[in-house]
Amino acid sequence: MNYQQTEIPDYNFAYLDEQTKRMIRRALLKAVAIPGYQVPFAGREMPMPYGWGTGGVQVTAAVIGPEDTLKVIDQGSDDTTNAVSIRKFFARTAGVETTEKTADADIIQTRHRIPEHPLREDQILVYQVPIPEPLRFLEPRETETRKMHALEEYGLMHVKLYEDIARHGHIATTYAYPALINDRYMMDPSPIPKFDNPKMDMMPALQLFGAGREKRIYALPPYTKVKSLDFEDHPFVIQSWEDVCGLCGAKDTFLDEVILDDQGNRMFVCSDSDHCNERQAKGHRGPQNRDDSLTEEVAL
Amino acid sequence: MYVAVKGGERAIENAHKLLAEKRRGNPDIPEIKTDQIREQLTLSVSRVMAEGSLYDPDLASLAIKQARGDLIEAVFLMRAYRTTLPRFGYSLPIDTGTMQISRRISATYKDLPGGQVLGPTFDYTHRLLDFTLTANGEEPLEAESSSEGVDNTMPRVLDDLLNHEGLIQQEERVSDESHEPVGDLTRQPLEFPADRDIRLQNLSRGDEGFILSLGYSTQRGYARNHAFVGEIRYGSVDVEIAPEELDFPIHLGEIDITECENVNQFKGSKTAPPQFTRGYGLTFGQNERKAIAMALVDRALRDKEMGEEVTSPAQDEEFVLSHSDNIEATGFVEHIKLPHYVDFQSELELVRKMRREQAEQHPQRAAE
Amino acid sequence: MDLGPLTAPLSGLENPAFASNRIFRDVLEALSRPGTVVPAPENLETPGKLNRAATGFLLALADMETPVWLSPDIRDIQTEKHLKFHTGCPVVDQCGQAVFAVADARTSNFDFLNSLAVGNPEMPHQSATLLIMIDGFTGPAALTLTGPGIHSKAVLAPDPIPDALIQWAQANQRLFPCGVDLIFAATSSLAALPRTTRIEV
Repeated sequence: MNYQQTEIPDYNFAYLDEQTKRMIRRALLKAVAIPGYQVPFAGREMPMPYGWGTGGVQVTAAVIGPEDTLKVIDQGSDDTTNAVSIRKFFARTAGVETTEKTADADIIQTRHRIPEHPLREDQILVYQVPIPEPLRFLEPRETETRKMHALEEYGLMHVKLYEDIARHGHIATTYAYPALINDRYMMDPSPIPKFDNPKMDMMPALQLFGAGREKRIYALPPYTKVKSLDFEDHPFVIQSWEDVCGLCGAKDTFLDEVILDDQGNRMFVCSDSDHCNERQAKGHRGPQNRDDSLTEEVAL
Repeated sequence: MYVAVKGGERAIENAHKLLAEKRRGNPDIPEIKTDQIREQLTLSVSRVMAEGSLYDPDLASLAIKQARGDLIEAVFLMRAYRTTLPRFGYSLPIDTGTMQISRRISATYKDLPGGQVLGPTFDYTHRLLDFTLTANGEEPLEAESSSEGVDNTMPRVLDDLLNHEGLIQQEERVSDESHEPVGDLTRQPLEFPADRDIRLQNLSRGDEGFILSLGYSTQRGYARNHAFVGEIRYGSVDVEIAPEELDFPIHLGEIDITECENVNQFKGSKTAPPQFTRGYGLTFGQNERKAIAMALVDRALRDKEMGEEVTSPAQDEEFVLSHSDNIEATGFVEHIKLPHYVDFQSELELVRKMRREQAEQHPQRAAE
Repeated sequence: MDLGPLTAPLSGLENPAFASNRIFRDVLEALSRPGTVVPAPENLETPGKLNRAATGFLLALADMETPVWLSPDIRDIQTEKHLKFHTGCPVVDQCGQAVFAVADARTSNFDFLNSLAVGNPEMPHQSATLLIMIDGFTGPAALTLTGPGIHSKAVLAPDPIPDALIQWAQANQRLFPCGVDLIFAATSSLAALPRTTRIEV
């Protein structure tokens, strides 16, 4: 064998060998049939580190076909280095079209966000998941959490959330906010902000979750009930900002805080860069973006 | 006006170029060749092969060079390559009893059939920096070879010597047809409780430092089970396959391995008489530190089998097996340097809100 | 591998990486949206009594890790050899061992249904997927479907649809999270009823 080559010149379509894809595909079909249940799968080492989205990459590699258009986001943005790197990986190994526009994508791989633009029935959203087990920080043992899921014994989580309320006056979980799927399985939505949780509920698109290091796959079929945990006297609420997006003026999006100097000056911008660009293209302007003739807030 | 950061492709490409430049170092110094690594950094090569779970000294040498000597990064390169290799079949179990011995020692007997063979070991070197090596060294001293030669039918201490008196626990043979096939955690997800085949595979691929520290912890009283090294042997063994259509095995080649068998105390239970128990360690190449530590941890993990109480980390199979893999560990530990500003923003909003609420409830404290 | 006397094997999937991806995506769509009818692969050689949708499904998703069970009425040497040759899957005698079980709505005896693997509460995914071969989806009686994947309700009219199968499928749904996932493999199309789908006649 010749080891001089530093790259495999002829890897299979979308990198993974067919046997591995079949194994992942079978796990995906079971995941869809048992919404919110974590299906163990024999995750493979990928040519990128664990923690960098190997689960999402394996799911995308098993799902993507030559005619698909792929979008990859990290923190809502197509430009973050890891999103760029994953997009490039699939452009190279699968030769697929890529896009930054949510509406043009067939498959969207994401880390930490759900796009602001509502997804359609013909789209698939693939999440990168670090810790798939919602009960993991309450009970580190897999053998125990597996039993809890089997018995639908989720009291521990309710106690935890209730302790938050007792101590802080409200639930202190802001991302990876647990949800009950189809009135049965408790699921970790991956570290998306709780702002995004309501988007999962009855979403027209198929949602697939891949945890490479922990070797778990789970799924939400379209139009599946996703209920963020709460209490009658402390209903689930999402984050809100007093500010608007400095660039596009949006009032209803998830905003990132940008530090402008060391004097405490800051501004807020949409975390979903495609959504923000689209709004700006339509003429929407925010307070830090008024250097042309257009006026702010043409329409919301 | 504020412009959102465009990260990107060019930055990544430049980072890769810088990395290549750093790897090469000063171009006035001759570039290191992979065959030099293979021949002169053999213990690094051993470790990369063992934890990379792939026996190939040439590839391991390349990985070490490419990784700038970062052995965990080199292990990662090996693993990512390994996973793309097609599987043609499974070899027969190797027989360490027929090893071409380079080194064999026992701590339990002063002398024994086959003798103590020191072989290439740091054990009795005085750790004094040898400055002659910086000046490109000298021709190495040639070791004297014994006129008698090494006896290659050396009896195994645990199976052939201790077993005569029935003093040592009998191991189940898993290769018998009646048993389940040997597990493979690179093909099946790890499930708990894990059988010993999976545990041993996990430990053998596991991080040397992690296994070393766990083994050490058992010696310091966290699941203490005093161990003697019954035997360590290092040398080469034959690898054979037995294709279905042939009724004889085919010799594929030899691999170097280190094997350690420990003898541990056992006071006996209601059903079993007092006898010695075993811990087993095996690694690719020469790596006694890993093999000994692995044998200590293997023994600690046999707690259920022995009816022992689980009190310490080294006995806790979920803890040990879930955290031994350095590729998983380094990925997840290092991933926190990736952007997390969406999560952080969520937390910021919460902390501000809680501080605001606290200030409203306790205006004095907030003013302080 | 012993393939017995030499007969020219039928061909499998053309361009397997792309073809199996297409088939998988259609099956994924069918299972994600119960009641949705997706196309079966065109121009696919079918061994013995298997139809195109069932053959395509097995060629795309079966391999040495997935024991396949064929109902006795559709099991023959040609089918068995074809599957083994193209996928390497073991063809098993006990339907309880099967990851994929295949039967024919017209000719099979359905006594086997309750022997299929349904998983257990801790490992509900260790369950069989059942392929029932039918003619098409224009049967006289429509099933009304509700559950995950379905916006409000969906209708599906497999033809034929034996009563025994409907009753079993309704009982199967009540086993959730355990249970079998059901695929209707018609000649030129396919639809699915995962264990979550509630069925009304």
